[in-house]
Amino acid sequence: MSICVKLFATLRENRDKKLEFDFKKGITSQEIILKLNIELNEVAILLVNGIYSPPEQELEDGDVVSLFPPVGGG
Amino acid sequence: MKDRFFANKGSFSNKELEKIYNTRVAVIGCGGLGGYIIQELVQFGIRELVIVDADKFELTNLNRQLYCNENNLGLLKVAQAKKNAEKVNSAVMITAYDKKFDAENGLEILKDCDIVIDGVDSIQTRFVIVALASQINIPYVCCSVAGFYGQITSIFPKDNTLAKLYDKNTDTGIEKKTGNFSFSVAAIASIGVSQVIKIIINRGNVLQHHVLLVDILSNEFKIISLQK
Repeated sequence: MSICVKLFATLRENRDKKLEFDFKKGITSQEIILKLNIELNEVAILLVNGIYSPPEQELEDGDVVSLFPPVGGG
Repeated sequence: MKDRFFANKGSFSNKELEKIYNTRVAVIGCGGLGGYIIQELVQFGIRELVIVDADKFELTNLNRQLYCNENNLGLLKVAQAKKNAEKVNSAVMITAYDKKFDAENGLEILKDCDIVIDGVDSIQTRFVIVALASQINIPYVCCSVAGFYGQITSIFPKDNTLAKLYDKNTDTGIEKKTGNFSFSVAAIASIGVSQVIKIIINRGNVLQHHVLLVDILSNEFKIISLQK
């Protein structure tokens, strides 16, 4: 199934900001994050189709996953 | 007759301005974000501020912290912020705490404040602020910055927003790698101050249950909903 991954802020470094993949049915956002060599603690906000979602949620064909890193400075 | 706040009056009613001027605002953190936040609140006309920071200015603050200059390195940030803000408006009443905001002193600091905004560099401290603000039933404008990136959200009592932005077990984000610099800090602080003003007058859009993510490198401003 086709999944689009959008990366934001520093997650774009050395990666494209938008990636298209074919994954097996039932894959989760968390598995995709690890496949992209992103550590789970590098992702603070995870959206699926623009909706705040847990990393263990199974994805559907055509889903768009957006990943944002933690921003904590002052 | 034109007074010092004459230019506020084109966009705000007298009733709104009175309400804003009479709001007691707490600013936690007086460094990068905090310096600009304090300056803009005082310029706008806020008459009472509570400011908190344990740190002293150091050389590496000169690239972004509004009140830091070559002559005040080694001096307390809260004292310098108070001194400089009073130059803008000598009538402003600023209560300064030269201590780190924490669960022990937080209630005493926030009592009698109507709203709190932060510019701290600790995610753990943000969790303390949100808990105490909720306890005393005041809104909290949460601002953070990292390099070209920043985010702002407005959290009202009992909202579960912060836990959706941060892992409770971490204390820092990508700022450890990106550093921070002047224009991002000023931009995020300004949006945070605008949230404070809009919450006070209950007009315009407030980022409750939403976060504004700013990417200055790509000129992207994205509001995302944190509601399921």
